[in-house]
Amino acid sequence: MNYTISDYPQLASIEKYFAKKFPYFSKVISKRFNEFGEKWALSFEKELEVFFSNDEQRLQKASHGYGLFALDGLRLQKKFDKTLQYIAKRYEDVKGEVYLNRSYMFDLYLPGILLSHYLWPHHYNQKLWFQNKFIPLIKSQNVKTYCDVGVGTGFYSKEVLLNMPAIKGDGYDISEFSLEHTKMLIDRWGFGDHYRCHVQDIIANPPTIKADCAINVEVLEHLEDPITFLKALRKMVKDGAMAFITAAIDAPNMDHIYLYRDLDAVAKELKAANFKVIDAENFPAFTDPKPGETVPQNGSFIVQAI
Amino acid sequence: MDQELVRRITPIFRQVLDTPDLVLTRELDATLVPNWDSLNHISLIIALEEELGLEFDTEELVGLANVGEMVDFISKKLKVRNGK
Repeated sequence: MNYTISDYPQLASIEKYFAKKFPYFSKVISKRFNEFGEKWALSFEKELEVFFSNDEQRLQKASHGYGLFALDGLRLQKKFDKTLQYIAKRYEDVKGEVYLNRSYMFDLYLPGILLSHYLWPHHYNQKLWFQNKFIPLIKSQNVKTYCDVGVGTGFYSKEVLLNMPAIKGDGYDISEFSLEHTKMLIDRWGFGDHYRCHVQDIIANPPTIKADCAINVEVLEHLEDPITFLKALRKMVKDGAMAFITAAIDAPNMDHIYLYRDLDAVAKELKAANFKVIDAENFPAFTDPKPGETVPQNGSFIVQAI
Repeated sequence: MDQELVRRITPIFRQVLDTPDLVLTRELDATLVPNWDSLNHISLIIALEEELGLEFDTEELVGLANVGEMVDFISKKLKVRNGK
């Protein structure tokens, strides 16, 4: 039986909202459906159903936030095509403008990131790689605990719990709003008893407990000094522990400070922080760029603490 | 529609959307032009800003459903800038 978007009410609702407010995004749902198939549609639909609880108004608000987030990102990408530099910013300034700004976080940033996990090919492909490569690896090691540093929306923390319901997690972030969103997401999926949130800067105030494995998704590019951060992250896991670490490459955003131009640049810093690269993959946002066009990518790594 | 403005911006639409025979009508929208995706939409906005010497906030662009609404919006911005 062939399904269409209308068989997925949440996806159809986003498509309808885009057609009205962001017509140039309206083809994206069908495009991704054709590209990734019913598995994508089912999993995206479920994600939206659980988090937005069939509340059309909340879903529309998130779709609006995604639209603004994506448009801002595209505009910055066009500037980046000309300069090959991120707009110079200090971490302390970004913290105030973004991470500690409740309305920006909840109206735009967090819904933008949440929907991007399914709407952006590099984010969706990274999620699949995480599920197909990292999860089986930590399952085979029978890990009992994990930490997620820089939780974002809580999406990857939730993915771990969804695949390994007995595991216990600790999420760390400097943004109370990221953690609030994470708690909401994890509670709605029914894993609240297995997860703790910590408003904590792991460099200034290192946690004393060591986890069996770690995840750290798209945090490094937000920092001025990623190596110091990676060294602090290394101290949070046991020797031999596996970690899933990713960084945005050539991908400007309002809060991106540290520019990585390729996978090797990230790999060097991981090694400097005593992580051995076990596997790595580069996920581009699109293929066949026009002349002079840069392609945002995600550099994803499975590493071992040595 | 402001026909003088339409004449001025038609070459930009044609070039950015890579559609040499594109005719701008009020009802024309992104769903009717195969190349009018989000990436080209931003290129279009940036090219219009450069040509017209204007700046558009992201929030201002939301809800502009078709060429007619875009032209009306730009025309209004030009009038404000020119003090008319």
